[in-house]
Order: sequence, then C-alpha cells, then structure tokens
Amino acid sequence: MDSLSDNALMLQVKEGQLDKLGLLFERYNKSLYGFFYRLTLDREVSEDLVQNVFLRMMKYKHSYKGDGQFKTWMYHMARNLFADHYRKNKKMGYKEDVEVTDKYFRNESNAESNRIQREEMDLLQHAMNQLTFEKKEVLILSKYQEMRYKDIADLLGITESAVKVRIFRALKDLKMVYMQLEAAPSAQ
Amino acid sequence: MEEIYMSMITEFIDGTLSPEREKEFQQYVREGHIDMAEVEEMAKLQGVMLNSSTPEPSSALKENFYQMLNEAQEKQPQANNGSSLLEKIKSFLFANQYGRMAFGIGLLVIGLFFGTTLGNSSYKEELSDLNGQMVEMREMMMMAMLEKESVSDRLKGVQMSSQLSSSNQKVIDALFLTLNSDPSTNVRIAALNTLAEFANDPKVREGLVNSISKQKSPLMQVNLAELMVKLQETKAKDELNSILENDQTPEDVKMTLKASIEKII
Repeated sequence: MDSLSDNALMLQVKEGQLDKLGLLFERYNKSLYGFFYRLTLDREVSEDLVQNVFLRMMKYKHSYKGDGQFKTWMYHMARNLFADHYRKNKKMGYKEDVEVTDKYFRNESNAESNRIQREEMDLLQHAMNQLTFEKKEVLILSKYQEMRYKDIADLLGITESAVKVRIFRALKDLKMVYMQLEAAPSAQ
Repeated sequence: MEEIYMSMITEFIDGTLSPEREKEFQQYVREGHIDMAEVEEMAKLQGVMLNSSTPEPSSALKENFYQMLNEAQEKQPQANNGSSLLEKIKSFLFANQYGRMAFGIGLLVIGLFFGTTLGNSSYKEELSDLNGQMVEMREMMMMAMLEKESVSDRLKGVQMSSQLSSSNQKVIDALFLTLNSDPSTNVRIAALNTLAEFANDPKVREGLVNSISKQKSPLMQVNLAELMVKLQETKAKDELNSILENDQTPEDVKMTLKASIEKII
C-alpha cells in the first residue's frame, strides 16, 4: 500500500504519529474550508470548523478503521460539526438579526445601499443560498468538492441514483432562482 | 419527469455517461422525454459554478492548526514511533539522553581507570580509542536528536553537531538533510549556521549552493544569499538568479537577493 495515501497516513496518526496529520491537513484544509465557507458564508466560522474537523480526527483516531474512503470519513465529521454549529446558532436566538435590522433602519438611504450591496453580492452565491440545505449540500459536494456519486451516496446514506436525482433537482432549482435574480437583480 | 431521466441528465452534464448510455440518452431526447434546451441551460449554469473563484482560508488557519498539533504532540506520552531501525536500537540500549550521557561518561571513567592502572604502554592507545568512542557517541546522539519530533530537541541536535569535526561525512549529510527538509525554519537556520562553520570544505560549499534552490522560505533564501556573499561563492549566482526569476518570490526578497548577487564578484 502506498505509505502516503490518505488511508495509510490516517492509520499512522492512529498509531500515535500525530505529525502525519499535518500532511492530511495540507491536503484537505482548503477543500474543507471551501465546503464550510459555501455553507456558512462566514470566514471565521469556516476556519473554526476546519480546525475542529482535525481536532475531532485526533480525538476519534482510534475509531478509524481504514476500510472505507478517508475522505468520506472526514466529510462525515465535517457534516456533524456543521450540524452542531447550526443548532447552536439557532439556539443563540436573534441577536444577529437585530443588528442587521438596526443597521438598515439607521441608514436613511437604506434602499439605495441595499440595492448596491445586492448587485455586488455574488449572484451565484446568492442563488445557492436560496436553496434548501439538502440541495445546497449535494451541489457543493458534487460540483465543488468533486466527490464521486458513490462517495456522496455513502456519506449521505442514500443510493447512488438518489444522489443523481438530487443533484438534478438541485441544479434545476438553482437555475430557476439564478435566472430570476439575473432578470431582476434589485428585486426583493 | 421520471427519475431515470433525471439521473441521466446529471450524468450527461457531468460527462460520466458511458457511450451506450449516451446513445440511450439521445434516444430519449428524440422521443421528447428529455428537453435538450433545458439540459443545455443547466450545463451552462454548472459551467458558471465551476468557474467561480475558490474561497481561500487565511494564514491564521494554518498557524492555529500547527499550534494545536504541537500542543497535542507535547501532551502525548513519548511513545516509540519506530521511525527508524537506528532509533529503535538506540532507544533499546539507552532509555533517554541522560542515560546515554551517563553511559559515555562511564566508559570514559572506566577507560581512564584501566589506562592509569595498566601502565603507560597501552595508555595512549586506550585514550585515543576512548576519544574515538566519545566522538562516535556524540554523533549517534546528535543524529538521534535530529530525528526527534520536538523542535527544541532538533535544535539541540544541531548545536551538538557544531562541536564535532567537519571531517565526518555522516554528520555533514545529517545536517544537510536537516537544512533541506526540516519543517521548522528555526532548525533550518541553525543547521545553516553550523554548516557555515564548515564552509572551508569544498563539498560543504557545493552542498550549500545546491540548497539555495530547495529553500521555499524567504528567510532562508535571504540567509543563504548573505552567506554566499561572505563566502564569495560565485557558483551561487545561477541559483540565486533562478529564485529572482520565480514569480512567487516576494519583492522584498528579490531586492535583497539582487543586492547580494551584486556583492559577489
């Protein structure tokens, strides 16, 4: 077996060679960051979540069997961490929302600045944000994280053909929202 | 639309359809089950998605990660990693560095005792023998230290090597390995400083020149360039120039390197 494969490295980490985790970090930190950033649109939170994925790998290294894909195992943790984060944020309540509304009401030329902000905002990212979590996630995994249908199926616990159908529906929805936004970028 | 068409469209857009399935796909298009205009629009949007820029994490992510890793490594009980055979044999013979030190000193004392009691004839011979053993011991210790995980241990290893003579190729090789591949810049700089002391040796000079192109860190590039000026090593010019031509090199480094090249006559 290739001693530098993801699997081999993680097994070495399991045996106590923690420095090998550095290689896995170099390999995956950017794509994990991309995964979280596209879900949260928050740089700081995304970096924290990436860090937590590796922390968790270290904590649960004993549970690594090395029989499946390392990537699937990693994204499994990433998804759990994101779910925890999402739940926590929901519990924290409406603090952020109040701040946003406050800012809007304070600003007299609110409509105008709002419009400019909207135009500057990446249309695609905006459209992605309108999708349900399920659809957004499957698009991120397949298009940006470049995971194979089979690996996504393993990760989500559904069949490969269900993955393809979900991708189709997500892409179709995205196209609809995107075209609407493109036609009227300043509309609410 | 039926799910079998949806799956096929996804695969068609991703380009993962097998030639037979592609034929089947075209058949469905002709029969009107699949709207090709819609598929093309979706493919176009996917193109937009794939062209969008990739979000990049800040440098803080890396720093925090390695800090976390270091902390975790320090907390970890010093287990035998079995990194090399040499390491294994040594840790089997001597549990820690103090043990090794005591072993070395013990040898010296025993040697001196025998040397003085067994008369003058064998005294000199014994002593030089012991000296040789001490040097060997130091070399072994140094190389073991260079393989440690902790940065401070590796630094100690480099410091030890400066007390050894430059004649030993094994020591020099170990230092060059550290200079070219140690993950810590501090350790690499220490190795560079030690090797600089041995720069009278043409082989060491050659190794130093070759190392220039292997250094990615601006700090190392600048340090090496300064050393080359001190040594007036003309052979280094080509290596330094290649760093200058590299687009990735920061402007500040380029300026310093230019100044250094001019100083090498």
